[in-house]
Amino acid sequence: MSNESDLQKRLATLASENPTFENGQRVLDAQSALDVILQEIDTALLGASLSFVSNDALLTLQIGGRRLVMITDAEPISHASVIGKPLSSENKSDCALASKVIQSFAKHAQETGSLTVETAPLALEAEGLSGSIFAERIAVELQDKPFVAAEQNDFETFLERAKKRYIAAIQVKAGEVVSTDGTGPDVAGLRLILSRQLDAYVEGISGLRGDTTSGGCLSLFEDGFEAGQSVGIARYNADTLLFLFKSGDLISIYREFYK
Amino acid sequence: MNARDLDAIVETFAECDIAAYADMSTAVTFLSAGQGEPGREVLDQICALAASNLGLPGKPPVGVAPSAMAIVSDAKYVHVFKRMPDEPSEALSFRCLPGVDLSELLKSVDAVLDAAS
Repeated sequence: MSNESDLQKRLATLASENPTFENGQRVLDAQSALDVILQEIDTALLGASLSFVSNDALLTLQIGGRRLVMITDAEPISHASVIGKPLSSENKSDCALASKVIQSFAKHAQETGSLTVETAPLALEAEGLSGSIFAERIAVELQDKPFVAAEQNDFETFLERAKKRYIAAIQVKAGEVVSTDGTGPDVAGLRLILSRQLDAYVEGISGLRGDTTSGGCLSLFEDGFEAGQSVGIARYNADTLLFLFKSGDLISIYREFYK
Repeated sequence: MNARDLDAIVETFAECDIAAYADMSTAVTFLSAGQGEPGREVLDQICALAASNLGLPGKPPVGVAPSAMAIVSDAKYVHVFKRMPDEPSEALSFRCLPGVDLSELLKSVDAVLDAAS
């Protein structure tokens, strides 16, 4: 956006005549909810708390210095981790979550056709994100970068990464155990799974999954070994890794499976 | 829990294309949500996968303890199966694209389960 059109937009917003009020709240154009919210951020010089309301949905933003400092409340709650957390342009995942919260509220406002805002003055401390930076992020997310499915790592890469996290493991190649890792009782437990359950499990899910031949398949069973210890099975054609890991590492192991 | 809870998750996570709530012992899907209405065949398949991974009460398919959650990831999908805390034969299932933010998804799912219990 050029400086001139930026300025014109701000002046137009500041000069917008005769705002309508409803129960002390300013009525906004619900059809362009996202634009309107971004404009409110972009024109707020002084610190303020803005409470946007659309029927039963609520979005409260702390803004000032033409920046979104943080989302202080959202109802219904989504992405709770970002609520009440000061935003900074350096933390991209928080920005992405904040975008989602704002977009989901704006979508609701658009659907219900109702949007009002109440402003309360506020003293500011944190740095925050500018409305235009935020608008760019949202645009990028919406149009230029739709979710792209992750690609898998190959078996060797997964094995190398999983080694750092598992407690015990048995590696099988073409039906033969090629290596074991871990203490006696843990490996014995895995051997029992290998001899008594693995084939039936694989057969059971193979008929149900669409693509059993292309790439690998990782199955994780939370607390399947005992409380706090989970079981994992990674299968790549001839290679199988049966392993035991701390249940708290489940998400990390899932991430190691993809690039 | 109601259909809106599942709708909300599918709406929040664009990479999650189907959410379903089913009884694994009778293979009946009670509720579902998805990008477009998921067909019966796909829902039956997801329910059968949930049963294969979580197992019916007392019969864990892998390991000795019944898992409250199982994840199956491959090149095409990530399936998340979550057993209902009070009804061990019932499960919530989510079919997502590989790379879905599992941490955020599970937070949303746990919020739904907490509200339901």
